[in-house]
Parts: sequence; C-alpha cells; structure tokens
Amino acid sequence: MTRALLVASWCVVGCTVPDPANPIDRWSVDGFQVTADAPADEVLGRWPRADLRIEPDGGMPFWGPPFWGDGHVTGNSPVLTVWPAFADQQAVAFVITDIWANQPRPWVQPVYMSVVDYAVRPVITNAASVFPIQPGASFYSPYWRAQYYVGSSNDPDGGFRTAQQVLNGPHELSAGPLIYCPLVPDDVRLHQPANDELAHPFTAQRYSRVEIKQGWANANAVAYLNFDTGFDLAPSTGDVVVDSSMYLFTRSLDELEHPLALPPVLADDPVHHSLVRVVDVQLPTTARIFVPSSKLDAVSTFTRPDGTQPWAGLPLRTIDLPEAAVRQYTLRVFMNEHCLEADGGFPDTCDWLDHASRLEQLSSSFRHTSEVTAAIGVLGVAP
Amino acid sequence: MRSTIFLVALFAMPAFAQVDAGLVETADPGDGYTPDESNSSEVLRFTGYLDVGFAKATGDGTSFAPNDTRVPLDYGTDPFATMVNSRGEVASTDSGGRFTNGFLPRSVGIGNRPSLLLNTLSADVRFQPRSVPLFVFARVQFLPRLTGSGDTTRVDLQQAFARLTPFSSQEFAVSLGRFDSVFGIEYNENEANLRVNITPSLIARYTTGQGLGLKAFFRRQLPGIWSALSLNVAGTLNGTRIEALVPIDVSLVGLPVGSGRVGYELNLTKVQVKLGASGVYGPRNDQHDPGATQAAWGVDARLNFYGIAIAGELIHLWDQPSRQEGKVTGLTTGEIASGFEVLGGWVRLAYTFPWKTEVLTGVTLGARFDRRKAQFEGYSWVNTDRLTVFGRIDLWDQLALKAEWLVNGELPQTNTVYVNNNVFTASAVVTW
Repeated sequence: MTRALLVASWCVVGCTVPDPANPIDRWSVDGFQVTADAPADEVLGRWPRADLRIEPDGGMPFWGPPFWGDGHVTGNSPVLTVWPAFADQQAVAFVITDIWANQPRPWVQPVYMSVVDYAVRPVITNAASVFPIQPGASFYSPYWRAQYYVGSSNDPDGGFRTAQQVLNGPHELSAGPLIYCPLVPDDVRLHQPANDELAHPFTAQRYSRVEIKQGWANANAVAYLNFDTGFDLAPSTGDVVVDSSMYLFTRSLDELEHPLALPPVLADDPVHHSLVRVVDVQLPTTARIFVPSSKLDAVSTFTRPDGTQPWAGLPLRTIDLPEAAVRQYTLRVFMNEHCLEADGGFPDTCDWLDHASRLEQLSSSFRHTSEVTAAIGVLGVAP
Repeated sequence: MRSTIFLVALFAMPAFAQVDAGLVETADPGDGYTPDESNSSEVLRFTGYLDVGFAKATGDGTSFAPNDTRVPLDYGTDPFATMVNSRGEVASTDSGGRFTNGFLPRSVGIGNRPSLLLNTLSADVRFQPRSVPLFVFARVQFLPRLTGSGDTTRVDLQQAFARLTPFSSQEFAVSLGRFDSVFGIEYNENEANLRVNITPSLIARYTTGQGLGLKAFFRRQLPGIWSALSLNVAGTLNGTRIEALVPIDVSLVGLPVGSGRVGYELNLTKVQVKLGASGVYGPRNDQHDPGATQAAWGVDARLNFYGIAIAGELIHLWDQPSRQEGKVTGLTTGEIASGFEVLGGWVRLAYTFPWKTEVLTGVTLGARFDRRKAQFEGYSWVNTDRLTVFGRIDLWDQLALKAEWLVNGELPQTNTVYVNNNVFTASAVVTW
C-alpha cells in the first residue's frame, strides 16, 4: 500500500509505466547446483536443475535402471550429466554447460593463448590460457575468439595471468578461430563410468576424454572444459555465434513445461553446432517410441525416486531382435509402426524422427521455436 | 612565503582549488549554480556565459588500447579520462567498431588533433516576482559539435525549475523541476565560469548530474559558534549521475531516487570550513527492473584560508545488476545493465595570489589529484589516477583564461591496461 501510494504520488511528478521487457535468465555450470537459494526446479521448464549437475551419490538420468550401466555418481565431485541425443540418424551424446532465455546473443570475448608460431598452424604451448572475465560477468559466455601471441616459454607458471598483462606486453596478437570453452567450478567433472571412460548411456560408445584444464581470469585460477574436438565449434559471422536447432519432444505445444524424457534431436554435424536454440516439437499422434524388448516393461513402469514415471503412458514399441542390435535405437521416435512387423524391414523402412531435416518436414504447427538457447558440448568419438 | 605556498600548491601534493572570494563565488552550497534571488533587483534577468576552448589529446584521444578486443570495450578502461572541457566531454570515444555498452561520456570528436572548440554558449533567464516568494530559473545551452557521426549539435535545457521560499524567517526552499544535484560539492562547479580549473574530476560523473524532481533545502544558522547546519534532500527520476550515463527526462522504473547531503560550515573571518556527508539510494534509471538499485555514500570537505583553498571528496557507489534486457543512457542504448562498483575521490589545492587591479582581478594556480577504482561485475578492477595542473587568470571579473594539463595514469600492479591518454586543454570564458 505504501509502495502504491509512493508510486501514485511520484507519478504526479512524472513517470512511465515500467516496460514489460522479457527477463534475461542465464545459467552456467556454477548455477546448476541445487542450493537453498536455488531449488530443484526446472530450468526454463526444460531441464530439472538436479539433472543437469549430479551431486555425489546421486543418480544420473538415462544411466542405470531402467537402462544399462551404473548411473550412480561416485567420488566426491559433482558431475555434469551426459545426455543422449540423435543427430543425422546417429546416436550421440552431449553435456549442457550454459542456458539462456531471452539473451540477445552469446558474447564472444577474446581468450589469450600462447603459441609457438601462428604463421601456419598454431601450436599451443603449455602456458595457461588467459580469459578476460570470470563466470558471473554479465557478458560471459563459453564462446571465445582465440587471440594468439608467440610465447617465449612453455613454462605454465611463466605465462600471463590477466588480460591486462597480455595487452600491456610487447606481443603482437593474432586473431584465431572461435572456441567453445566453458569455464566451470574446478571440482566439476564429466560423468565417468566405472572404467573411467566417457561413453554413451545407451550404446556404450566410447568418447574422447574431455579435459578439465586450468586457465587464468583476473589473476584467479579458473577451470575450463577442453572438448578436444577441434576449433570452430559453432558457426559464426564475425563474432556473432549462429545457433542451430535442438528439437525437444513434448506432448503438446500448449503445455511446454514438461518436455518428454526423450533424447533430443540435434543438427547434423552436431560437434560443430554447439549453440542450440530449443525447438519444441509436439509428438504426432501416430508417432511411436522404440525401446528394446528386454527393457520394455522396465521402462514403461519405471518410477523415479520423486515418484514420477517419465515413460508411463507413452506409445512405447519394440521388436524381437537381439538387444545389441537395437540399443542404438533406444527412445528413438518413429512414425510408421508397421516397420516393426516381422517382414517390415526394421530399421531401414522405419520413418525415424532422428534428424533435423525430417523434423523440419513436419507441419509447422508441430514446432515452436523458443527463446531458450543453450551451449552444449557434443562428445567426440574416441579414436 | 607566497612562493613556497605556490610550489606546494603546484607540485607537492594532489591538489584542488576552491573558488576564492576574489573569483566568482558559488552562491549557495545547497543549490549549486542556481542564482541567489536576494541579489536580483529586477523581476526578469538574463545572464549567461560563453566558453571557447582549445584542446589536444595524446594517443588517439580515447582511453581504448588499440589491441583490446574485450567485450564490452568500455568495461575494461575509463573512457572518461580524456576530458577537454567543463562539461566532462572527452576528446574521443571512437571505439573503432568494437562493442561498447553505454559507459561512455559525450565526445567532442577531435581525436588527437588540436582544435578550437565552442564548448558552451549558456543563456540563463530568471524571474522573481517582487510580491511572491517564488523564483523561476531556466538555463539553455547551445553546444555546437561535429563528431564522427556527423553534426551532433545540441540545444540542452540544462535546468528549469521553480523555487518556493515559503517562510521569510527561515532558510527553507522547495524546488520543483530540473535542478542541480545535491550530492557532494562538485556540482557547485558544473559551469565553466564557476569551475576554477577546466575539467571535472574522475568521479564527477556520479555526483554532478542534474535531476528532474523535487528538492528541499534547509539551513540553520548557529551564530554563537559562527556555524551553520544544512540539509539538502531530493527525489528525482535519475539520481545524481550525469545524463550521458542515466536518462533524466523520464522514469524508466516508476520509482524515485532519493539523495541528500548533510552539511556543516564554520565561517570565521579568515578561515572557512565546510564538511558534508551525502547519500543516494533508489532504482537504477538506466534499465527497467525496479529491483536493480543504486546506492552511494560520500563525504566532502573544504578549507579556505588566506587565499589557499583545499577541497576533496570521496565516494563509494554500487549498482545491482538488472534482471531485464536492455540498458538506456542519455547517449545510447546498451544490452545489459551490469552490476558495478566504484570507489574514488579527489583532492585539490589552489592558491589565489593577492594581486588585484582594475583589469587583473585574480590569478590562481593549483593542482588536483584524482583516483578511481571501479569494477563491472565479473571484470577486473580498473585502477586509474589523474594529476591535473592548472592556472587561471581573471580579467575585469568577466573574462577567465584557463589552461590545464591532465596526466592520466594507470596504477602499476593493478592489471589496468596502459593507455596514452593525456590532455592539454585551455578555455576562455566570458560571463555576462
């Protein structure tokens, strides 16, 4: 009441109605942690916060029952969830490191990297990279433009620790590629199964390791994820990062709060499309979801510790084939269930909704392009 | 003795000068450069001044390092360092296409080229009916400019207010409209004819902005101890920052910003002491989120004795980040209103020589030392300082010739990017 009176009296002097601008929401890895101030709600209605970052002794979605492997997180460090997905008809896996809503664009800051020589092909020295800002800065994003300088030493302790030291130094800077390189709390790890290999939760496909490396920001040590999948991990025009679509299935576009617990579909060549914009896709009434026969009952009746049944009531379908032959199709959406018949020609004749071009063929009324964008690290296949 | 004082003033310490009695006197510590109606014998009066300057900056006229590609560029340095006139305008803010986010002053666009400048043509009109305790004042300023974006000449209604003095027995006045800040003391020298030197301090951007709103001033004389206490409070749309940083004309959040200063002054025959403490609190008016607040406290002091004037000011200010997209300043729009904190201050010493003839009415030499430490949330601290050495000659009490040299520095060991951005500037101000 007092505030209302204050506003009313103030408007005698002159005011404008507050602009109903869309609020900016930003989450980075350090914001995924569930705390007293950050409850285990869903980030922008898409991802339960507790599923993005799993604390020790927690269970990771899509790992363990009702599927394969052990989803139990051991050790003392929290881990980022490795999510299954499909892209270009293949099963892939990724981690989410940053989420935005209504963000105009991800910012691209310079990152200063010491190289032996950048004339032909830059060879990075052991000197730690230097970031100009820390996580939490309003213009932070995991995208950086490499700025090379020829280092005089490979001593990791002999390099620069602040951007200002680089800029004040005598080195000539040379712009390099765009880099996806999320800063993370130094105790965060990616999920490592018991054999210490990074793998797909359904296919057990092994992926190359993702290094936790140390850099410097404002003279403070910072940890970052080095995906080792090469540079130019997102298309860009200058320093404007261009997003691609990440298709999330939902029961209805009228109820966007809870996307279905199905792997999303990413753009073709997902490794080089790390900035994604969420496109909600309404599951067509004729669509079905494939599950290996050995898992059908377990999946359809699975209950999470919070009492929810993520796959109950979904049109799950299976085929009587050896599990090893069909694991890669787990939770993959398809349109014509006749392909599951004995002579149906599974899987080639199935109309799989597992690649971007197929989803774009659906009527536009089945798709909703959201204001939610995310930075993802798609795991590269181990050599 | 005098030469010793002069040397101390010029070299020995960071310094500052207060307008001495021999120069133009600021009328009222509570009102800034708002005229004293008690001196006006006419119902309607027209006054003003003309400020013609000359400036030359080193480097490229900006405070941006050529190899700096950080985003935003204006978060990692102090774009306000290369001031060339009493308006706080700088030689250049040309970022060369690099992204900036609205932490910029106005620019005269000369880069590093020496140039004459018509800094300000200021025209005042004041109206005071003899039978009513009401006073009306308006100031219009003409600002011819040509920058890299073409003709940016402006006509600025800098002040326009009505002031009511309801009790003839009390020093109490209420003002409504656009008026000077009430924070600290530097707003008293916003105008070129009143500022003993030329350029504002490094913290002037936070304390000297005009505001649109309501202001009340009260002063109680304590003649038994040759003292007075004063209280100056205001509720404005924008707070106390300059219009280049925060819009003045409308409220973007719908709530006022409160500011005020409590002052004490001791007025002896040969010595004058003024002390004050200021504060400001309210929503940031450069964005739309009412929950994003600005807050600051400051202290100030002035000491005048035997031609020597020492003054100083200290401020600590912090902004909460906005949760909504967009940033709006008096100059441009930005993307995000970031969290911000600054601690800074200045001290000035000046000496006015006791030489006075019919033509030569004042000679003042002095210096000011500024220091500023500021940080946008998640970015590194920017630690800078500045030494300003100046001289002023007054002729016929109507023409002031001023010159000064600004030596801007980045504090070593503080991770601030070195920039070549010193300035020489001069000014001739005619008052009528």
